[in-house]
Amino acid sequence: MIFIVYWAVLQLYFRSKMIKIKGTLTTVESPPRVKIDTTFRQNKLTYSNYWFLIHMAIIVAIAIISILNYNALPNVIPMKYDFQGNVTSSVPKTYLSVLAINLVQLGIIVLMMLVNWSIKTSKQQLTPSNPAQFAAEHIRFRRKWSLFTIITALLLTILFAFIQINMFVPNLVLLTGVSFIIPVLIVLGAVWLSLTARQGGGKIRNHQEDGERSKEQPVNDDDYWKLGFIYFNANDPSFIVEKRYGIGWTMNFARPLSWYLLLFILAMVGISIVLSQ
Amino acid sequence: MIIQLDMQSELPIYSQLVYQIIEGIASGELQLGEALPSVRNLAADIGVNLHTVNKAYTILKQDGYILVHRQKGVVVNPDGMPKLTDDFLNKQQRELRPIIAEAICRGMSKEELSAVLAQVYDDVKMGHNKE
Repeated sequence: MIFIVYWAVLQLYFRSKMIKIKGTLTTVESPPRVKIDTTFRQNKLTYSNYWFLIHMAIIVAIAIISILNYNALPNVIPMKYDFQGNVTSSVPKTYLSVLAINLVQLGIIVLMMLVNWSIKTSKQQLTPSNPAQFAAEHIRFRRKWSLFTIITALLLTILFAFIQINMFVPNLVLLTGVSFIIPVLIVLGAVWLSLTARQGGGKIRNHQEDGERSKEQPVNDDDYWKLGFIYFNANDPSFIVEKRYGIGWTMNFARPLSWYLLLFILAMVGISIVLSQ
Repeated sequence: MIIQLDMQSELPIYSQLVYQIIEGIASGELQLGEALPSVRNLAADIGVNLHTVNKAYTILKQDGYILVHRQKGVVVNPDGMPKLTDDFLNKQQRELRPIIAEAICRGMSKEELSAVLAQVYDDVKMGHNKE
């Protein structure tokens, strides 16, 4: 919470500073241009959502195993452990409480499929200079993040599968190990991706001399970025756009679909909180 | 092909789109039968209304430069380009007249004007991306 406030203050402070600096800059003669590669959408931008069938298969298999071994379970299922391995909360055995994990897994996969789909459909944003080369890098950037999404979903599926199997064959050491390693792997992967692939797919460092750099400037869309980070453009039919800075994508909040999506994600979080209690 | 649009130009976006696509075909950057982005994708990528792209595609379709297939989507007309018709020649003369009139007013000779015409002709054929 403190972090969010800190981030917001920092972002607003530097935004106002940038706006001042931008106002003093001389404008370049060449008009801002939008450049679009007509062959862009013919490329494979992401990995197919069919890859999630593997995840689904794991979930279904674990669910079937759980149902078959339902009678072997104790009448009270431990849900949480403290660091000494003592049970801190538990629930009575019902089909819902046994299969709750599978529902959460399914929710995660639907969410990840949505993420993968939005990487694919998000708006094409090319640099004014050297658009053809940039397009190639941009496609690589999208595919990397798509692959990361699929692998993350798979790791999470495996993590939950371990938790569920732990109900039948308790092995606390293994479970603790897995539930430590998998989140670490995911975070490291995200950090590594963010450091190697700049947002949009360009090079992190620009080695060109000042003279070689393009004098062309991108289209000024400052007005559509409310507070600098919320995209609101009613004229733009695309609703997934790349974030202006940072990592990832954001939504065009002028489109009602993005509000539904936001509600859906909040509902998913809410449902998993309710289920875990 | 890379389409370049000037978002602040007096020329409307749909006209720019029409001109750019015809230029792309003229320069060979767009091959006969080559697929073009769907209306929805192109509008989203440029960040303009669907109607803008639709209008451009409708004009191109009426003139015979592109075809809109139900399954294959939008493609550059694979059967070749529309032929020189009387209608087209009349339209071309109509459009050239004010340009030539202006050139005469500003004291351009016939030769100078022809030189400009020849240069632009070569330029379009070369294509702006090839350099």
